[in-house]
Amino acid sequence: MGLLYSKPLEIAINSLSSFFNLDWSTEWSPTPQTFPLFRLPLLAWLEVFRTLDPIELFILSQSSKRVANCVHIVGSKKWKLTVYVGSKCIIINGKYKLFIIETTQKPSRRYDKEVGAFFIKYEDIGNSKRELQDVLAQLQTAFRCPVTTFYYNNVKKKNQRWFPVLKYIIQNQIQPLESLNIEGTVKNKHLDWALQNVRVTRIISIRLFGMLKFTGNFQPICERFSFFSTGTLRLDLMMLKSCKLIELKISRLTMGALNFFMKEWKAGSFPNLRYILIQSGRFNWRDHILGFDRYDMEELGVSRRLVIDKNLSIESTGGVDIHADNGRKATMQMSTGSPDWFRLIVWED
Amino acid sequence: MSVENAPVVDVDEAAIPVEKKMYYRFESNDKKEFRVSELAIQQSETLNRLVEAMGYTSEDVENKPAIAIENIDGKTLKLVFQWCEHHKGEAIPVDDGSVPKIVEIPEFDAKLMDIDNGLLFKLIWAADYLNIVQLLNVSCKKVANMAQGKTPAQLRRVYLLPSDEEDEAAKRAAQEAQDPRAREVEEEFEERKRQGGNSFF
Repeated sequence: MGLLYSKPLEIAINSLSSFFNLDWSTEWSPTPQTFPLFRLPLLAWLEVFRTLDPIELFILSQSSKRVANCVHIVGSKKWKLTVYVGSKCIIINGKYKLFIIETTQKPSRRYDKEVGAFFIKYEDIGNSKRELQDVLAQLQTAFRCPVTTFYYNNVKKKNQRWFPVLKYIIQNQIQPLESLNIEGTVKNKHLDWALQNVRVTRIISIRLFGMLKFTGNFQPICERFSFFSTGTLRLDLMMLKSCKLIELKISRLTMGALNFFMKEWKAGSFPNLRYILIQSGRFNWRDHILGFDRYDMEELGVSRRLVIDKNLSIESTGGVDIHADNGRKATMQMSTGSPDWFRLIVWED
Repeated sequence: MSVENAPVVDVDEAAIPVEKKMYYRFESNDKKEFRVSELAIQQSETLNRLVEAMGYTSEDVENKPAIAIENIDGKTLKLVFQWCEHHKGEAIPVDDGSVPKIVEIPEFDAKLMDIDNGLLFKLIWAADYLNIVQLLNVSCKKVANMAQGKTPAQLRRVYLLPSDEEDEAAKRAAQEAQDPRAREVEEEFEERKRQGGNSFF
């Protein structure tokens, strides 16, 4: 467990108790401008917290360390943070946005209720990764909730701020990410570290531009794995055995490698797989897959639909129907024109 | 004892079922008396259980002393019962645990709570003590609304929150009050450090 989550619950409860004052005395002299929040009964100030939206609660948490230590009692541990490194934005529960803006002026904060977003202006000190990391740390200290989704989208190679931020997240929380999305130009060693060390439960989506080559040596344990590269991509399909959906575009896979993969699938080595799409510049017309040539697998004939989940369904036309050794039915499809692609659709029944 | 004989708000006789047409008498800690309909009392879980347990008849209500509410004053209790009478018969909201909790303040409630912060403070305590869920919801929402558009520093002023420095000072003062020797030991330690000693012993 990372530092942010290591504080024992008793400390939090003690800090709450110190606020909870049952005294009805009138030490507080009421004025129109003030209200002694923490002299209310516990249930009441908890209600006040609960009617604040997460951004207002975050601003409140910044008023003092003691307040920061107790806002999590609203149940914020269950909240989810989405970090957009490129746009320097953190979204709470997919709805409440917090933008970090570099400025040459004194740092300031502004909450735009209409836009529903909170803007934090930071002084530009030439180390822009720090601000996002600092705000993230403040958020996690207050809410004690994990980052579940990480996005990086940038084509400038010199802008590699995503890496220290991702590293910070991984080193400070035990919960795996739900989704890791990296798009742009990244350094091979950073990408390699991310794929080796970041645990992801649902989606890994990597789209690389301008990288000459990348050889992946990792074993993702996630539902959906999507990898697109304009350069040379070498991946061992056998490393993707636990995935449900696989999309590889512009890979270096040959028909021989595909044939090997299909034999493994037929033998039951990919029990979770529902769908795979592979685009490659190295498919030829000579070799066969499980004895079928490309014309056998072309998109002609009956249309069917594979429903993966409520957000994703795949239309399938034609192809060749096959059976795995365990009786699982599937359809192989292959293009007969450019671009070259191969699809395997595994049917539920 | 000053007695307010009439109900705290006008009662629509036709709207109240015959069997519910009983008014209980309550007394605040400053000896103000209120008559409150049975249906209005249902908004308060605490009072509802109390009157159920007492099992008063209409005669008992008139003949026995008013039920004393020891820790709420008349001004606050008047607001509470006005609210209960206005919202009588309404379903008590069930908390689904969602955050942020969406609470709308109805016009009547907004007018009722157009009061100074001191009275609002007491009203929340009363709503909590009497377990009036929706009154607690709307009054806390009013307090939450004070946070809108404020910076952390402004929130410290509005909600009277001590700053980190004030917290530290209070903590030190509390420690010193608990153990006067601690300060002396600390000063002695600092003095030895200044003299170049690296051990306290």
